[in-house]
Amino acid sequence: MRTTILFPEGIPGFEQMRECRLERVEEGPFYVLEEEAGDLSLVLVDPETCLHGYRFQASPSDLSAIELTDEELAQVLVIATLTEKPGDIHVNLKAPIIINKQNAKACQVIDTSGNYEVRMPLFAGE
Amino acid sequence: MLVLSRKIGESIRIGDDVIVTVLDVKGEQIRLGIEAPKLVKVHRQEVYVEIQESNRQAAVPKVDRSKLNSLLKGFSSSK
Repeated sequence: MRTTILFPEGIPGFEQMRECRLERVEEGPFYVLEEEAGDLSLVLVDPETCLHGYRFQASPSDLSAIELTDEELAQVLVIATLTEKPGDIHVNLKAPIIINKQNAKACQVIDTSGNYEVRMPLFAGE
Repeated sequence: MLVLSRKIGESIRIGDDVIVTVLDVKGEQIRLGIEAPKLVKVHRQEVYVEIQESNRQAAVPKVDRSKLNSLLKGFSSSK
C-alpha cells in the first residue's frame, strides 16, 4: 500500500523535505519513504520489530506541527540505517517518525524519556 | 556572537516571544529556563546534531531503489 504524507517542517538534516510517498515492503516490517520532489529515500521500520513495548515521550509542541491530539491516531515508525550484513542494521529509537493518520502529516520528534539510543541494532536479540 | 553577562534570576529576550532565564549556577553547570511559543522547538544542540547525522547516514539515493527493495524483502522473509 502506498500513501502520500507531508512533513510540514522536514526532518533534522533534511529540513527542506516535504511531500513523500510511504510504501510498505510486502507484508514485512519495512517501509520505504521517498521524497516526491527530491532524491531522498529512507527506510523505516516498525519499532516493535526490535523492541516490544516501545514508548517514547514527546512534548506537545513537537506534535503541534502535525496537529496530533490523540495518540490513537498516530503511526510510529523509526529510521533504519542499512548495511550489507543484517546484523549491522541499526535503528534510531531516540527520534521516531510520527504520522498523524487523520491528516497524513508527519514529523520526527526527539524522545525526552532518555530511554532510547540513536543507534540500536535492529536484530539485537537474535 | 553576541555575548551578554547575566546573574541568577536575570533573563534575556530573543525576538518577540522567547525568554531565556538563568535559574541556577552550580560549578560548571547552568540551569536555564526557556519560555517560547508552542511552535518553537527547543533542543539540546548536541542531541539535534546527533539526529541530523544519523538521518544523513540513513539516507539512500532513489536510484538504489530496486536494490533496496530486494534487500528488504530478503530481510523480511528471514524474520
